Amino acid sequence: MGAVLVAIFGVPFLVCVLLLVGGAVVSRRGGPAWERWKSLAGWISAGGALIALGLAVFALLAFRADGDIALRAVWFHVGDLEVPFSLRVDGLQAVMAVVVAGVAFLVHLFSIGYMEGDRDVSTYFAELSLFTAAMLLLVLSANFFVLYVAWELVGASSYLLISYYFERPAAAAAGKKAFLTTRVGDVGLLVALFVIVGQTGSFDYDTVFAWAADPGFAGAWAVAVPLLVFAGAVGKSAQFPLHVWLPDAMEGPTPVSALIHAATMVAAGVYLVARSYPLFEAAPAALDVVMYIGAFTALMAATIAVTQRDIKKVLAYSTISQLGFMMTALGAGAPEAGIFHLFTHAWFKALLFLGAGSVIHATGRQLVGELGGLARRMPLTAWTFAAGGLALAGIPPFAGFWSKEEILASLVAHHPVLLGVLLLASLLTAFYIARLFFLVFLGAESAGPGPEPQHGPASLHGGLDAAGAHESGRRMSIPLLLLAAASVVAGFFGAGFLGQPLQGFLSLGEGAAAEAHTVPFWLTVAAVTVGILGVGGAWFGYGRPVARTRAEGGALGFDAWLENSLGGAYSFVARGYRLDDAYAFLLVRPIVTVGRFLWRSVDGFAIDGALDGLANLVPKVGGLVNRVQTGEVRDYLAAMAVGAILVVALALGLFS
Amino acid sequence: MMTTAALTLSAVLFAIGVFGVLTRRNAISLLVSVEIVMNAATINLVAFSRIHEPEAMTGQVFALLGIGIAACEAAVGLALILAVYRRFGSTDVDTIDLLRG
Repeated sequence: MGAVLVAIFGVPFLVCVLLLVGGAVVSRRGGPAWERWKSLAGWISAGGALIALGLAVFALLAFRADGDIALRAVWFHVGDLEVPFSLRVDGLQAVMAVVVAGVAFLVHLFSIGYMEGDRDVSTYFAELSLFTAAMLLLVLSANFFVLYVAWELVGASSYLLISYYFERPAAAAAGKKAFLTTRVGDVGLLVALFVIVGQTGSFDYDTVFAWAADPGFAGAWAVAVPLLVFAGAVGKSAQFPLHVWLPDAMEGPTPVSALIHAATMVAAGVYLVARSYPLFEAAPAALDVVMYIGAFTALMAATIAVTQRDIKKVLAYSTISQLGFMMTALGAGAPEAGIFHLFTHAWFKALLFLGAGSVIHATGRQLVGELGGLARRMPLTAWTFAAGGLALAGIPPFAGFWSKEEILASLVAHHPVLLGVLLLASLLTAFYIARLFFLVFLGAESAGPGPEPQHGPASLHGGLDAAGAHESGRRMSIPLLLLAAASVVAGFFGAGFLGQPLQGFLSLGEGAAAEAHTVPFWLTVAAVTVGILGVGGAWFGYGRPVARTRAEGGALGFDAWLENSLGGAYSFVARGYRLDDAYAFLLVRPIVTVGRFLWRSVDGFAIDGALDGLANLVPKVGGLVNRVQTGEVRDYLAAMAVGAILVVALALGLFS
Repeated sequence: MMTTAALTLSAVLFAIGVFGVLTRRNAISLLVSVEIVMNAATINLVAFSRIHEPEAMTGQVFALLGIGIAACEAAVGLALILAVYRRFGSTDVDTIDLLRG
């Protein structure tokens, strides 16, 4: 069975190596061979993901029959410390592996159509496979060391994929920003690992959790360690205040946004917190931090999403908001609810992103103001997007309803204020996703020639405008349909009236499991009501024919009214609470100033000046000394005679 | 008495030689002056040998060696002067300063 676990992440990894090496070799030959290779690369990559998915499902089923499956080997020794390479599958990890491999496979499939004709799909698919392998390794690891290695690999492949269109400065900058921002959190995780290994002498989950369960753990470390682990999760899962990289990460190809920045990688932080839940259980204060940051992020990102005018930006902030929901549930002592939401969210958010990708691919545009009326041209995209949107809005029986309800239920008993916050965030969620749907798929088709295509693949289609949009090919519609199906049924895996099979399967933290959250009827009514209110409000503001008349200045429907009545507050929210500006002022500018000082004054003036001065001194001294060399024989002879006289004088003691 | 005279002769010859080296402009005159300086040294060798080790005759042997070397040196020097003359059309050392730095 250990071989299966290795193969789950090993197959995509080998695919990555194959595509990189093969791409390097074949691209040198160019011509038809290179074209053939490019059309083949996507299928190889998708095949690797499919194998991983099959093995993950197999491991899931086998695990249910056999109990925990584990593989353990010693990787290397450092002094007395033994660093193991160990994998395992338990409920949480099996579910994560299936979600990751499943979404990855569908995104690979979608990418084949979406990236067709791109300059170098071979590298694209290699990077996508590398990400898949790293993420699978992350969720299969049975110790913190391998987890951290995979964690960084995931970050690196995310960087590569965000900056895939590296010739665009914005994409290159976005990749750098994502890498640096998440790194801030990664340092927290790294320090946590130092503490853990210093205290326990082991990386193994089991040893560490046993240490956490020990009553002696409740010291200063008990709060510090989970908070440091959480810092890593804050970076990776884009929680406030390190969420700023995720909206920018939308510079990457859209399928990448679907896979990495919506469904799987950003869930790594949620997974990490759920995985190390025993550490958190020992420190209620740390759990409170997780909960409050999660709730604040959920509300903040939801408000920002309402104001965004780029399809992908809306979805990006939506992702941040939904991750906030998951974190809130984890912090409130209901990790199953958080993971359940992760599970459902992965499917419907991937669906929404791929739907957005389908729109962008067909029209070459991604600003809502330039889109409209696409439902007639792209009925399949519209219907599947609607399914994803309803799931996100929390309308039963779609997936998001069940999981969001679980999260809300976990707050009923002790945190009524946060319950209100999340209900408000749910209202906004329903509002912004319905707004997006109405603006993109209903209303008048936008006229006029399309803008300059912003993305690589779209450039293929030249100046296609919305009027010329057509449904994307089968390779792109099949993933949409499958994900739409998942968005409908995924919720039933954890639905209360079916006995919550998923949650029982996860078996996270014993204390939490015992306190089963039953959903009060009034809460269900409230959750559905806010969902319907949000969608209804969006219909009122953007869906009605009257509301769709375009206002001046590019503001749309209700947006114009909001902008006028809220004024400065609106632009404050629209610019992401001006956090980017704050970071620029507090961090970026001082660092750049110091860097410039070091560059110009220290390096340019002091160091270069000293070296240049030394270099200039040498010829000057040489110029002086070289006057002695007259080339006149008698000068040399005279010098010799004077020297001889001096020597004689010295010998005769004339100087003493 | 005898040695004092020899050493005095040597000093005088040396002074004449150095004076010639410093004042002459013709390369051949320079060569002649250098020869005089060498002969002063040779006389010194013989004179000191007679003072310190009369039986060993070391100084006299060295004097013969020095004369031989001086002959070689004169040959090489004259050949050089000939080459210089062909190149520059003159043996005036003041006009030849190719090695000026």
